[in-house]
Amino acid sequence: MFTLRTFKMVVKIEPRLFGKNRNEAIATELNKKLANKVVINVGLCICLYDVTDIGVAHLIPGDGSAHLKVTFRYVVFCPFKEETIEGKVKLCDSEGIHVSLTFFDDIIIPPMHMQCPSKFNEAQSTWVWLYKVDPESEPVEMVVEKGDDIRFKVVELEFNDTTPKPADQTAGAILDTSKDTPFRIIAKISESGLGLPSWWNQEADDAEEEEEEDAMDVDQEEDC
Amino acid sequence: MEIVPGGEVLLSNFEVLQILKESQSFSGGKHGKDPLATIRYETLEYFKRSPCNVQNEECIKNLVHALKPYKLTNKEFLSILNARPTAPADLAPLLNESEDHMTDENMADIVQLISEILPAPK
Repeated sequence: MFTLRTFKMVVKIEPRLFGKNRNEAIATELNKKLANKVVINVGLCICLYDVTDIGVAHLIPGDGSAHLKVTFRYVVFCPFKEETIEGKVKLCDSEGIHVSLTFFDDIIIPPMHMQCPSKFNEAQSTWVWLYKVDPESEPVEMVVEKGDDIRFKVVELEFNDTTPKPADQTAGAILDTSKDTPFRIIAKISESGLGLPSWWNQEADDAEEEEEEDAMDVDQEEDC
Repeated sequence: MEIVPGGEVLLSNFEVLQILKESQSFSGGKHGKDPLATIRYETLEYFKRSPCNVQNEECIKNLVHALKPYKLTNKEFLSILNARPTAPADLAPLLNESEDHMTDENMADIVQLISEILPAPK
């Protein structure tokens, strides 16, 4: 879900913009700095909402620009835990199902948060949930593949500080590539109503059965 | 940069859509490249498939009024507004806190109200 967050920041207005509208110049500067960027422990910044306070302009020796302390509100994408969101499957691999919301791509559903039992089909790059209507029957294959609409619940938000550290610049340093995304969402589809919308629409009548199934899944989850 | 604690406001997808549309007319590239171009395009692309594309202020006010008796939390209401569930199975995952005191009839009623008040996405 999107939220409004309040920030304070010093904005530098270059002398070439002095003749222009000051508020517009501040808005453009703020959007240049923040739009489409992740702020650690806050979320993905989308666009400026409003500027609530502009401080006195300061001059710094050797710099002709005006430095203003600005208080503003920004639209930020940061889902809460347990929020249900719908996205599109970007890719399936042995790590899990990768989901995209077009503007945000770093969402992963690891195997431990899928319906149980689920298996990865390497040949077709799909994840398959083997759903049994009753324990004795042949399992029905519920396939998740690239391009499917998928509904998931947020389990955890992971923030990583990706600013390069001095140590990284030495030749031969080993980079930890698992930490190259600043903001990642760990999601689950292991509850009733989650996963592909088509899984649940046909079975709306068997809602009770699903809940039993779901309770079983919770028990089995530790095994997968 | 300093993050001012508190004062966090939740926004519905509909509101974000309006803000992005307004920003389009405002930043007309007077200072060169529009810094919002990429994120605006990608977010609007996402909203194209979302029910918020056909919503308006009036239908949202009507829904607030209609769902009042069910005592949903703010987050639950906004999730419903963003997702526009049309079956009880779609509604259940959106209710995290009110699920326990909700009967099957309540759920069916809410779904019925949603499909009556909120326009269907194209």
